[in-house]
Amino acid sequence: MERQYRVLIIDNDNDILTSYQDYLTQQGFEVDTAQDGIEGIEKLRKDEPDVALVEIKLPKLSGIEIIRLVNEEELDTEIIVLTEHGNKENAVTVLNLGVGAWFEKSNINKTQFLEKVQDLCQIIPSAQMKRFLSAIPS
Amino acid sequence: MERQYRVLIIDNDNDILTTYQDYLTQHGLEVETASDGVAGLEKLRTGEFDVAIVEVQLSKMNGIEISRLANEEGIDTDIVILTANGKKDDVIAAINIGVKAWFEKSCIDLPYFAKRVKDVAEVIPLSEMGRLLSAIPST
Repeated sequence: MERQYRVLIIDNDNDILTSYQDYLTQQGFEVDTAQDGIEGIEKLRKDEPDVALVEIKLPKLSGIEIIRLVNEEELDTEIIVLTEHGNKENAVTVLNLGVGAWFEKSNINKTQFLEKVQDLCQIIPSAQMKRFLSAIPS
Repeated sequence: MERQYRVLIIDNDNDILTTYQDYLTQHGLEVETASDGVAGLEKLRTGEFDVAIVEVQLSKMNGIEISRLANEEGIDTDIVILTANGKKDDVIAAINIGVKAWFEKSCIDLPYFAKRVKDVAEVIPLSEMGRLLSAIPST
């Protein structure tokens, strides 16, 4: 059986946490939540979920800082920005940090959103890819 | 010897084409140019380029549309946006298409730009990765 993919949602809006957690759980994901940036990065370091949904504007540590740390620390989690607070400069910053997707809460297309979460969960983590490649006979 | 990476620059502005072609050539890359969106996409479809450097605002077809088509058609060329004209919606579209980097012409650091283009060029294309993975003996 295919394993259950794990998603972490980092947002300080409880309604967002509840509605997206319920939706993704119904779709077969194992979903955890974090209510501020520090709790979010700690859960990312500890659990390395397949995908994290990250709001840009968060208390204690911003979404941009979380994404920068995930990148620097080479955590094997794909990031989706799910926001209503990002500006163009934020978008350019996260593009250059290598996030997998950006969705605006105000006009989200649930089908596209779900497809993207599923696609990003299926990406082979870089550590695993290195193990595969090192197994190729020279 | 390491092979020379191939770069395509798509921009309407001849000064930009010349300046960046000269600079990247001096840094060891093989560089071609296209001066509108349709010519750029046709060159991309040859599949000969490791990286395409694309302006958002282009005549005939815009840079986001080029990136979207390259992605849909499975062209193994990574896209770097180099623009003076991008809006927030363009950046979001670029993220969701899988563009690798975004530079604003007005505040560019050329040595960093050249390094980033080379880093992107070194990424193993998906088709090649598939061949490599298929070479792993099954256990």
